[in-house]
This record gives sequence, structure tokens and C-alpha cells, in this order.
Amino acid sequence: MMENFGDLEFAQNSDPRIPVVLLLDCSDSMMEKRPGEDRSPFEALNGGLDTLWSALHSDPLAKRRAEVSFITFGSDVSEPTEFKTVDDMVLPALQPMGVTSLAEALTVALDAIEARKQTYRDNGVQYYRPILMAISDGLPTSPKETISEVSARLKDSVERKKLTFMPIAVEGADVDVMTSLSGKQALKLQGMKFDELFQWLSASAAAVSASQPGDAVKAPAPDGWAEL
Amino acid sequence: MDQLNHRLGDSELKLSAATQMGPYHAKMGIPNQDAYDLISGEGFLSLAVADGAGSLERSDEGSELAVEVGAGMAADLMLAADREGRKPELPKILAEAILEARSTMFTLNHWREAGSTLVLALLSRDAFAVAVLGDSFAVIQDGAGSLSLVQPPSVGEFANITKLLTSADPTVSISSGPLSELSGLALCSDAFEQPTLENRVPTPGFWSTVFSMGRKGGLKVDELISFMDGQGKIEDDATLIALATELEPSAEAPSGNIEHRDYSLPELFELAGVPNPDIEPQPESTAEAEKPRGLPTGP
Repeated sequence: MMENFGDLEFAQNSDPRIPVVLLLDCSDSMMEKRPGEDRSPFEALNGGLDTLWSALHSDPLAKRRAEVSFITFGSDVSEPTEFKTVDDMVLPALQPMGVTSLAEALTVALDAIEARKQTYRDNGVQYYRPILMAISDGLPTSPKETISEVSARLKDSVERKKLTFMPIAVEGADVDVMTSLSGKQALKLQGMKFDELFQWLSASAAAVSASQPGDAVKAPAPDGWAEL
Repeated sequence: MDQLNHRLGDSELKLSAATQMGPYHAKMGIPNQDAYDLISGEGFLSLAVADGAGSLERSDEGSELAVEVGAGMAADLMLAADREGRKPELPKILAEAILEARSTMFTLNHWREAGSTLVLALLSRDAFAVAVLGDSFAVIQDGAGSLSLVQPPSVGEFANITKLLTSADPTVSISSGPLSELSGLALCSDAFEQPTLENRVPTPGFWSTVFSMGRKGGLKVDELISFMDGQGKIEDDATLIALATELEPSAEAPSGNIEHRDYSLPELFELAGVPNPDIEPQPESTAEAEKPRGLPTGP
């Protein structure tokens, strides 16, 4: 006969969180269709964000634990949207924004991550290693000093495993330049496969959300969307 | 699942133990990476729980090996003490058992893929001790009904980072005391952390109730885990050994003599009384200080 466990009381704990920042290049060049493609990167990126929402929503742990903030950039860098789980997330309305201030945008992203971690600490919420995904199709137009400063910060964070950095090069981007920003190999997106990219991001977040003790989480392989 | 009644000294102990694969592993086709073992003998009970690191491919093998060696070594040392007419020192025995489990792991070719945590408990006719390495944990209920957590301090910044049996510098938390002051004892993998600990404090509404059920003889841990799974409280492989003595918590019951201490790896070797292979013995003919093997001797 099954014991009646109805008298048990459980601890009231918040879920641990995984902060995810998506850095989205909205430079003018993202409006241009590439040869052989029926959508511009901009249109495909917009569609991909819907896929991200659906993918996060369909995983029970990622749905509760992944908090996403969006930062768009062109000549200027937008204010980061608030970190929200998928149920409260508002997808950004992407607009063309000029040139490619990637270094400034990365600086804003790193600051946003640090602020979010402090908020977690202030509220006694546990968190996983943050994810920063930067998607760009162009050479950074940022001043050399800015690139140098943010590159040093990124390299330090990546080497000390403070951050999971995912640089994604869209058709037209210089993969080597993106790689040199952090030392982490940039992955080149196959065509306009943003849907597949964001499904992979959601699966990576889900893997972290369900992860067990250990020093590394084995993320899913970037098959199906990256040129390897 | 295991159910056991075992008499130690004047105390009848009731024990229930089980392990269940977590829903995420079931969905991904990953084996249960938790393991447990229990060995009962004349005058002792040796218990072990281990949780394999989810990111490591062969951690299910690691956790199985850890509990087998840990519980087995502790049992062997208890039997040896009994044969030799010695009073066993339980914290020392647990330290030796953890170190034996650790050194056995390093004999595996794939030890880097087999890391796990380890919790060991040893009960004798008049004493008990429990040792924890990693983020699995133990909960003790004393005669006064107070609950205490046995678990090393959190490591690093992130929620999913812990030390493992194969880490270079693990910390081991050891609690020990007289059996006459033990009312309840649980060894768990960290699936129980979110639903039953708040800020590293065991939730009384859960643990006191579980120990009370155990004392009455009605606790079946496999049913408890299934219930928690059904309530959405379990997201991971879950393993629990829950034990209750006949000591009903009360203000008049004996308490206050359970000790807790954290040990670094060198301190654990010292407690165990076995040589630390990372320290060279001091040469007889020089005043050279002890140093870890392999470091240069200086300018």
C-alpha cells in the first residue's frame, strides 16, 4: 500500500537561471539578399527568433530557467531588453541601423551579463554559466581601442570559463576577425539557416538547464547549420 | 529498492533505499548515473551513495565503482577492527574508504570520464559517522529533532559545478557522534537539493516527516521518489538511503555531541593515517621542507 506522502512539505526555491544574451547585427548589409537566397539575413533572422521562442517553450526546463536578453546594434547599440523567460519574453522588432559597432555592442552585452549575475546574487538565485551569442555579417567598424578593450575582456572571460561565447558569422563576415575577438573559433552560418541555429541555441540552453555536476556541459554538435 | 531492519547495540534501525533515473536522462537515453550500496554486518552498517557527473560519458561506471569500493572498504575495516579487538574510529575509517575509492578510480584508463561524488556512512554499535565529497549530501536528525546538513561548501560561481572524487583538491565534510543521539540519517544525490534544502538548511516539513515515516516502518523510498517525480520535484537521477532509529525526537533526548568538520585532501590523508603520495618524505640528511613531487627545488 502506498504511503500517503501528502503531509510532506517541500522547500520553496527559485529555479537556477541561465542568462542568455543575443547580440544581433542590424547593420544595413543585413538587408541585402545573398546570391541564391530568397531571403535577406534580416528576414531570416526575424523568422529565426520565432523558432527560438518555440524551441525554448517546448523544453520544460529551458522554459523555466533560460532568461534571454536581446541587444541590437548597427551604428548605435540598443539598450538591452530585460532578461525574461520565454513566457514573458517580447521578441525585438528588428530595424536597419547603419554600420557595425560590434565591439561597442559586445561591451554592452558583457556589462549586462555582469549586472544580471549581481541581481541573481542579491536575490539568492543560483545561476549557470551565461551564454553570449553574437551574430554578425560584417567587419566591425568600431575604433581599434574599443575592439582591443573588449577583446581582452572576452578572452579573459572565455579562458576563465566565466562565459560561453558563441560568435556566429553570417555570409559576408570575416570569420577570422570574429574569431580573433575572443580566441573562440567563430562558426559560419550555412546560408540563412537561422531556424536551425536557434534550435541549436535552445538545445544548448536546455542541456545547461538540466546539467549535472561537472566542469563542462556537452552541448549538442552544431550540425545542420554551421559550415564546419 | 532495499528495505532493511538492522539491530545495532540497543537500537533497531529501519532503512529504505532506492534509485530512479531522472526524466531528462530517460528522454535522452542516458543511463542512470547514480548508484548506492549498503552492507550490513554483525555490529555495523556501511552505506554509500554516489552521483556520476552528467557531462562525463562513463560516470555511471564511476559511481558504481565509488559505492562498491567505498562501502566495501569501510565494511572491511570494521571487520578488521572487530577481529583485532580494537574500537573502530569511524571518521578515520571513512577517510580511508574515500581515499581508497579515489585511488581505485585513478586506476581506470578512462578515469577522466568517470567522475562522481561520494557519500559514505558508517554505523557501529555505539557510534555513527558520515562523509560527503561533492554536492551529494546527507541529513542528520539528532535526538532533539534538529536537522543538520552534511555537505562541503559550494564550489565556484555556477550552479552546476562541483568537486568530484577525481578532482585535484576536493573537500570532504565529515560528521560523527554517538549512535544514542541519532534519530534519523539520509544519504542523497543532489536531485533532492532543490525540493528539500533552502539556503543549505534541510526543510523540516520534508525531512522530519520522512524520518518519522521511517521510524514507523512505513517508508518506501521508491514510492517516495515516484511521488516526488509525479509532483514535478525530481528533474535528475534520484537516489536516497533513509534510515531511522528508535529514538523519537524530544527535548529530553540526548543531543549536542555530534561533531562536524571539513577536511582538505592533505588533512584527509592525515586523518586516515595513510601517506599522501603527493608529498615527498623529508630527507634524513637535509632540512629541506616537504614539497609536492615534481616541483623544482629552487634557485
